[in-house]
Amino acid sequence: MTSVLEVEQLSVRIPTEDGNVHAVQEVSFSVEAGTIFGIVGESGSGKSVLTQAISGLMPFAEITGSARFDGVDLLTMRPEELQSMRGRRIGMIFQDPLSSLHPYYTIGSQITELIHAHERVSPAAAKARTIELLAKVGISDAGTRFSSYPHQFSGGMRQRVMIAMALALNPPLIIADEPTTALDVTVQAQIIELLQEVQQESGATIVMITHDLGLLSTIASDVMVMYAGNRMEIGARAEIFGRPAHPYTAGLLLSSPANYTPGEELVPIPGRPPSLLQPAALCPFLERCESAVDDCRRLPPPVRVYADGGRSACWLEHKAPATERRPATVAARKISRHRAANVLAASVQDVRLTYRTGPLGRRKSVPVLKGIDLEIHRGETLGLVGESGCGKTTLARVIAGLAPVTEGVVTVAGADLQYINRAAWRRMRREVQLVFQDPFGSLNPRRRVGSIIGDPYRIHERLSGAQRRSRVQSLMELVGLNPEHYNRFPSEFSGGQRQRIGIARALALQPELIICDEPVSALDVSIQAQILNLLKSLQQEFGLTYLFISHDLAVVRHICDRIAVMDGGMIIELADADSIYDAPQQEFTRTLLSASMSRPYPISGQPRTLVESLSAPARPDGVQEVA
Amino acid sequence: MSDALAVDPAEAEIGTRRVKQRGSGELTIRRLLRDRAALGAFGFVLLLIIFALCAPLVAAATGHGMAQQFRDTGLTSAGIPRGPGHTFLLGTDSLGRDVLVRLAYGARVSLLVGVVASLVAAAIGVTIGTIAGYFGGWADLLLSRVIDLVMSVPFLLCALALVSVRGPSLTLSICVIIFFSWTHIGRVVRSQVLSLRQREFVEAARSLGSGPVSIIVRDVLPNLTVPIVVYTTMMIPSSIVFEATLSFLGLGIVPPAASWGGMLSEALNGSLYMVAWWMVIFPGGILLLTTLAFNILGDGLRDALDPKARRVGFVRLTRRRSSRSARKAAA
Repeated sequence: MTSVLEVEQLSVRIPTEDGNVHAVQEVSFSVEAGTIFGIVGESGSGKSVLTQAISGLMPFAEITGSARFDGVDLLTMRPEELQSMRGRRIGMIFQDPLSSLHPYYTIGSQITELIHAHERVSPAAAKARTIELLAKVGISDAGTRFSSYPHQFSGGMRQRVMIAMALALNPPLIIADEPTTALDVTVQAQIIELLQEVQQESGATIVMITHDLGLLSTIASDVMVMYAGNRMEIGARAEIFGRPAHPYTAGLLLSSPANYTPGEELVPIPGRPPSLLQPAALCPFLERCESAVDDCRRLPPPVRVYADGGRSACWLEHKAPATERRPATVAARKISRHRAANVLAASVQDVRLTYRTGPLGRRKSVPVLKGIDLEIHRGETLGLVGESGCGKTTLARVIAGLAPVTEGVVTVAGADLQYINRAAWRRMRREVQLVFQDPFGSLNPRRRVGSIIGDPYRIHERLSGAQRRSRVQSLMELVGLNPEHYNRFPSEFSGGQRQRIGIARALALQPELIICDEPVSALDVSIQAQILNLLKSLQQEFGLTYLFISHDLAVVRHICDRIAVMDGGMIIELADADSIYDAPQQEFTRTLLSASMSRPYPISGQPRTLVESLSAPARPDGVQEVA
Repeated sequence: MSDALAVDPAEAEIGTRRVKQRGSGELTIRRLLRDRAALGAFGFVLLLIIFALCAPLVAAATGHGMAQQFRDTGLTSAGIPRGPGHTFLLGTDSLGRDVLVRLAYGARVSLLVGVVASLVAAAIGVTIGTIAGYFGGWADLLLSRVIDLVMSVPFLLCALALVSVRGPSLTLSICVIIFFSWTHIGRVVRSQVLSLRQREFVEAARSLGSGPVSIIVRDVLPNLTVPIVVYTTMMIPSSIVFEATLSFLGLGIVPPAASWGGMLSEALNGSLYMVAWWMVIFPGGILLLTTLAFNILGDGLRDALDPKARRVGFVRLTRRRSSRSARKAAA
């Protein structure tokens, strides 16, 4: 087998105001022709920077090392050479297909332009080729869609256009940077399938970057795990998923709720990623590692080479110990279900909401909610799932009293939202609270954390400053934040910590109902597990009621007692979590389920055999061999 | 804010990493200090303020009063103003008054008008823009049309009419300037509030039961500090030019009080500038430099306060080339 791309000792430093960010540190890997190579890592692990550096899209960074593509070092190429390389030899697919396509040109002209930029072909030939490409990536009626504009396509279709664009010149290498992250689960599955097809048909090599390990478990042949700019582990798919050698890989696998039976407590990776301003002298994962040994604190980790070809930068010699799961803790779900003594926390009866848009005179009514009935019992967690645009967030805002309904009755804590006056509405705020999706957008960047969490006390209880402070600090303690950080600004916290701040704020007045609107979808896998555990333990402690909105069925299944499936502004199925998973009634539910549940990879009990151990300072700059 | 992004609170505690944590204030000052042009502009503005404050001292030092006419020493026998020299450092004007002293007193008028008018106009613009942007609907429709209306009034005609009715005065010119300059910042603030209102933290405050006033004061306005500071700074030079225009046309400061616009107008009177270039160059030059300095300062402030909007550094590109060639040489 020949390798298409060979990267050796690649380091990328990005100069910033705060100093050099060591985004990638001495990473080596090789990608074999005609395979799908996965690079996985959490945000800030340097996975995108790595590929951008290789393709010459990071002009301000200092790059050292080498990246051989077909025998030529990309890093020593002049920008003009790289420019002709991109598109012709290296195709790129980006995360956000809306911002990567030019809104003013038709998709057809954008693809033909790409062809013309690199080849001398007649316009008619280019057009014919484009239509053929569009048909190949599954765009029906490609001939007419040729002259459509990007905004006339859905997100998934746009991603298909991007893939067609990447394929246009038949490049031997395609770099896909989080190609499915911005898409709905059902669409995600289609795109992954398409990528696989394309790869098999054209024989191209695909380097796929993602933060979602589960995604790679079905398609990648080799996987590299990155953390804090370092290569932690590299190896064949079966080894990475079945018997990971590095504790971080094992931790990532354990953080995903998909790998648990519902109700089990997740085992998250404690702590959070280090700052990249200082290159780590020791193992960068040391502070979060639970199986660290004495050697870890003295010397940088060696590279362990295994008989199966995998490599892991760790002092541990065999399999990571964390692969054995902890014994399942008592299923908390069962307890909470008993507590739901049929007292309603909130109920929604035949709620309809219609937006009126368009110019005056020619107003069009757009129905968003088309008759929703829902009851939320005290002490339970009700999951609300559906694809984007199905109206689940609107429903949440309606229940929270933030959006008026066109028709129907919303009752929260015994009060009909339609008939309450201003003062009562304010009192109502004590009963419903929201936890938002975006941990960056939902906290005012100009206010201190203490004042953000203390806001409910200021508004509703008129406590004195000192009292408020002590209440806020005990709340911070409760959600796992250091109370001494009372005076910090939100920007000084990481995503997971910010979400804790949001939870503390929602918890302050001990509301009857907490609506969690995609509370973990913006977080990294390892952090996500921490937050889910926190939500769960808080529920057990205070008997909270959650309305949990998510598009991730694995998460919903893990945390929810009952699940409502929404589609097109209606609840099409509502049942116990287990029944939904075991016996889905609706076609849509079945599609959703099959698209989102990547089956956990079978864990192999076989130990791995160590063949060689390369001590860290003298990492070989020889050829990487990956089985 | 990306300012503190590089710093990790937890890491700071562990103390194993020597990452220095810098507040956003310190970062802003560091960025400002690195911007030579803005620093120079700031220096000039400081000098100008000192110059204006010390106007009586300048008068005392030269022994020439602001409106004092030196018909014997300041004018030639033919009645032509004297050029720059020992007694009159920057020359004299048509009435034999010291240009330097008048420039100093004129600076007082310009700065006073510039700062006061900008601050009041900013206050009005921010209030109206916030109300229009936050409440939307009819309030927005009404206030936006008012802004359009004010913007479409021909300001010189209006000023002429007002002055001919009320007679020229400093207060009146400040009022006229305020009336015509709040609209711009009002529009900017309105559009910013419109987008801020959609942000989740405003929704969060609403869901907690905060009233509109509380949300505006605590959540919306603090996030507008940067545009407000920058636009107010940028408004100062235009107010100064505005005042100079009014004075030039004889609608602003009442003579014999000195103002730069008035001095320019005197120079034009009877085409005196043909023989006495200093009567145009000095007031015109200082007016130009002042506007330039405030504009550069405003630009620098924006870059320092909002680093994301900064231009991509050309220097970095060249640096990368050199590091690349260094690497090649090493290899």
